[in-house]
Amino acid sequence: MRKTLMTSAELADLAEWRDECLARGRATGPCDRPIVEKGVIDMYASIGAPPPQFIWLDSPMAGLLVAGLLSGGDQLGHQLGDQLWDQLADQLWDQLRDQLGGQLGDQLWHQLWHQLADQLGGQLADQLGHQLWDQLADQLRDQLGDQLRHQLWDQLADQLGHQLRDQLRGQLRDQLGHQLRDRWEGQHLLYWAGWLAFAGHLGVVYPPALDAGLKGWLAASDTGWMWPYAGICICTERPVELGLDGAGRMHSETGMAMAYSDGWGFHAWHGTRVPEWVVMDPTLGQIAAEENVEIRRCAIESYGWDAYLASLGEGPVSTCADPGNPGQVLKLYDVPDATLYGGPVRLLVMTNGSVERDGTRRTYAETVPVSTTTALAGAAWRAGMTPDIYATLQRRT
Amino acid sequence: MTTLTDLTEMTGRQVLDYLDLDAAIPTHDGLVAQGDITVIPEAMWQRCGIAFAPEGSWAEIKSQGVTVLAGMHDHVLVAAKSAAQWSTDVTDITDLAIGIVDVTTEAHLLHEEHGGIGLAPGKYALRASREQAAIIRRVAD
Repeated sequence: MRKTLMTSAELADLAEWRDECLARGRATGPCDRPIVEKGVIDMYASIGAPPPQFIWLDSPMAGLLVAGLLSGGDQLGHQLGDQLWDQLADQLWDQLRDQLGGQLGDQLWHQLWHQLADQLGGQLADQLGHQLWDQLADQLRDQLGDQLRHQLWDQLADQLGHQLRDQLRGQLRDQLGHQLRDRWEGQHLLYWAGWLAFAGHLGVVYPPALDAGLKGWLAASDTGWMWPYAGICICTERPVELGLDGAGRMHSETGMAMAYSDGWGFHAWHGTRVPEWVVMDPTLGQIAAEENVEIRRCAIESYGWDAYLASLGEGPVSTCADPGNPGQVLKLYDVPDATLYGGPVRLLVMTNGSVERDGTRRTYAETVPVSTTTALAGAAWRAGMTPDIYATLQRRT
Repeated sequence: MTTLTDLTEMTGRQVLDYLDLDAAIPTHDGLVAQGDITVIPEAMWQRCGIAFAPEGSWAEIKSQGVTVLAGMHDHVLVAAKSAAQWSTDVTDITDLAIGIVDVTTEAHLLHEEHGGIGLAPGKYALRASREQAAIIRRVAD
């Protein structure tokens, strides 16, 4: 076991590897199925399981549905929860039947549940997810010395995990509901697989069987969530659209923030999952009627604070010329409802330094401390400097 | 002179097609901003609470550039070989600083929507913006 800390060259490699893992964890579009399947077969082999049959589906919702069938179809609705059950529209069922029909043949689709039940002798299909964790992931981890494990986790997995586990996986899990069964989270697990793989780069030598399993895991990481069972692995594709903001939070102002090719997905505003209307068509009436304060705030941001405040008849408390952005004006507003941001704030409404395709400029609002007295001071605070320094800004694009 | 076409060819990154791709990108040596990134020249660091970390190290800027702030549209630092170097060894009382660029001849910040902004020789700190929500957080665009 290696116990020394990383060299600066290794730290540089680490930064590059982190970027690569993050990019793979956020990648969209169809995966290379033969490569993923080979990876899964290698993972199965590492825990002594024979190669499975593969069922490919277009979204984690579809995967969850079929996993439900394999684990006890009678209770599916109950286990998924009413809300999720409602989302399983006829359309999705039809698509699913088409997909499965195409891969398994119509007859198999019709008999899928019964045949499986027969094969398993009335038992539910064995889920392998826990076994993969215990026999592959945990044993790989045990090969790392404590010091390296912690240093590498802090420098790689912690940061990646924040983006992939907390943001992407977390939002997806919350959207799907909590009855998720024994899943394997594909690209969103790269913070873990990447951590173990980089330890290998640093000289940690894994026993051959585990090493083969890890290589398989990495190869199987360029796809969506999976539900591994004995004899059958349900694999799902990555999203076709993934919208993120500058902080890596799910966000899209033009459609679903996470969208799959079968039409399933959801909308999000700077990391908050929101109903479609918030993103696509916010109205003053809906904003007023929205009881969830976080969704209401998102809806106002989507509607535009400038327009929203104008509709309330509120004028700015301070304005000034926007330094470095000729002809534009900074405006400072009071926020009428302190609960919107969890405490009193003021809003600075700014105008983009660059124009849109149609020649207009986008306006946007940011929160500044309630103690801010002038628009210039608000803009300077955003940049972490005093107003006299901020006033020297030569150019804003 | 450098144009957006030059920068997109060097990095392989795209910008929106209605931006002026063939105009010379103006170069600055003072305080400038691109979206949520503020570029702060060395002369202002002390008053902004920014310092280059002791024993900090520098890295070459590769042709595809350095993503200094990732998002729907990345802010990318671009420089020709040996024209500038980059370091993330920066301390900042606001914790907003992302890194420091030391420009020998010329460097640019490239952004899909905001286009390019040129930096004259000198050292600059690149800082993200902050907002005051329930807790102070970095701005995301």
